[in-house]
Amino acid sequence: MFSPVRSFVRLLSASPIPGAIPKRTKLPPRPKWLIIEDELDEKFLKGGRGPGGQKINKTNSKVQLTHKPTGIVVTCQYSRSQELNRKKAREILALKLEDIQSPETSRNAVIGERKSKLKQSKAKKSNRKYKALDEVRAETRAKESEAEAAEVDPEDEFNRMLAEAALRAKNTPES
Amino acid sequence: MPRISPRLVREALWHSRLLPPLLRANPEIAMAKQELRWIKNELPRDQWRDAITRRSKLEPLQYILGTQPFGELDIECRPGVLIPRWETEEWVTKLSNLVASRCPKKNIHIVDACTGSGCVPLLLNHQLNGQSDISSQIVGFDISLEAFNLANHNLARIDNSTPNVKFKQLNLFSESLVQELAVDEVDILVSNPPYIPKEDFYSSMYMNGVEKSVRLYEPALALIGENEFYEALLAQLILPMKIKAFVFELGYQLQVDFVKTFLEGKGWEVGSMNDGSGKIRCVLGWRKEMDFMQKLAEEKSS
Repeated sequence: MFSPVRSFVRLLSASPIPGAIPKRTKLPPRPKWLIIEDELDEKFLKGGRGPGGQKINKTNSKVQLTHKPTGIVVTCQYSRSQELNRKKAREILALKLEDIQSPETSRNAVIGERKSKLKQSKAKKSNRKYKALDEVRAETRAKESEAEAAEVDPEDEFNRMLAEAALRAKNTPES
Repeated sequence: MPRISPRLVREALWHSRLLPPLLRANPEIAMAKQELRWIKNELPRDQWRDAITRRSKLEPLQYILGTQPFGELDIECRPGVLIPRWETEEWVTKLSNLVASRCPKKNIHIVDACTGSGCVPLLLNHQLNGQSDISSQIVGFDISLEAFNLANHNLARIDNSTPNVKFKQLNLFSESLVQELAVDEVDILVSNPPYIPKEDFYSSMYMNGVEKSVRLYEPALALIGENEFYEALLAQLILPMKIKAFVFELGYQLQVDFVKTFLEGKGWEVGSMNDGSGKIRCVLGWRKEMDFMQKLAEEKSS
């Protein structure tokens, strides 16, 4: 019943661990249901300057959406296709509306949280890594200096030996 | 061409090494950035440099990238054939929505004169068969062989197996046009004929003329024309074939007036339509049985 292995696995995989990084596959859905076509005022901005028609060849197609109840204005000219820009503008607007309605649990907020947490954990990891590296480096440096201290200079040693020998010769009475 | 200031070039360089040449075609840095992004997204890396060089010589981006979005469709573009414009996309979408919702006839026959890349028939077909119980038979024709080939290529590319769309290579001014067209019945005639007078074609954009890139790279055959095309459309097709409604793209109030005076006293209602930036863009006419068309007209006179 209470297999210790299973409960351990569960502990690892259950998502709402406080402070866990939200998974990319488990983000809140895009809030498409917030878009009501009647509340939108859609405009296609084509740059009114110039004569237009066959005389000009425009590549961009900017879409501007105004959400009438809140007055939020969203523009999108990401793609060359007006249809794609219309879809994208609606997505952006829906995200903004969700931010207003439920600022804590909205998709944007969760994405932001995920981003900052990923950044934090990355920083943490790199801190840990460099701390460990620094420690290793400090250790080797300490060892090196110890070894250096222990190392003997042959000339010094020779001089010391000579001096010792001289002293010994002085001290021993001549027979 | 106005001089590009060194400051602008420096600003562009700061963003990307590839950006400065694009400033020749785009005076604003934001627009140049966008074009660079599209080039990077749509072409493989080894073609970027070539594409940017071509664009810096003012070649239209659609010829370089090969396509132009037109409604929900992607229309292939080749040098020698006019690139579809957003104004055309706009009125075609409006027309197809209106026909889908209001047309009393369920099997509708449409002819598109001067079809170019085939964008108008293909989008009409896509919209009408996608959203309603209406079935449509559409024929597009163009005098240019290049346009005819490209239109057929686009038809094959948008492969929802549409035997409802056909293209032909015909001359609008031919005396036997009706026989060559070989269509028994036509309900609506649409067209985007050449409508720029010669003197405007050769003057600058600031003098109500043509953008340099258009003048240098797009076919003059598809651009230069005055009233003769509207006259031919009316005298060669509308009247002899007893067509019930039409929409023609145009660029001048004079052309609207020409169509109006031509049809005066012939039992037609004629109106005009502006585009999204408030410029005169279409003339449309209808006989009594197709009077749902007046929904499109902003200003009309019988």
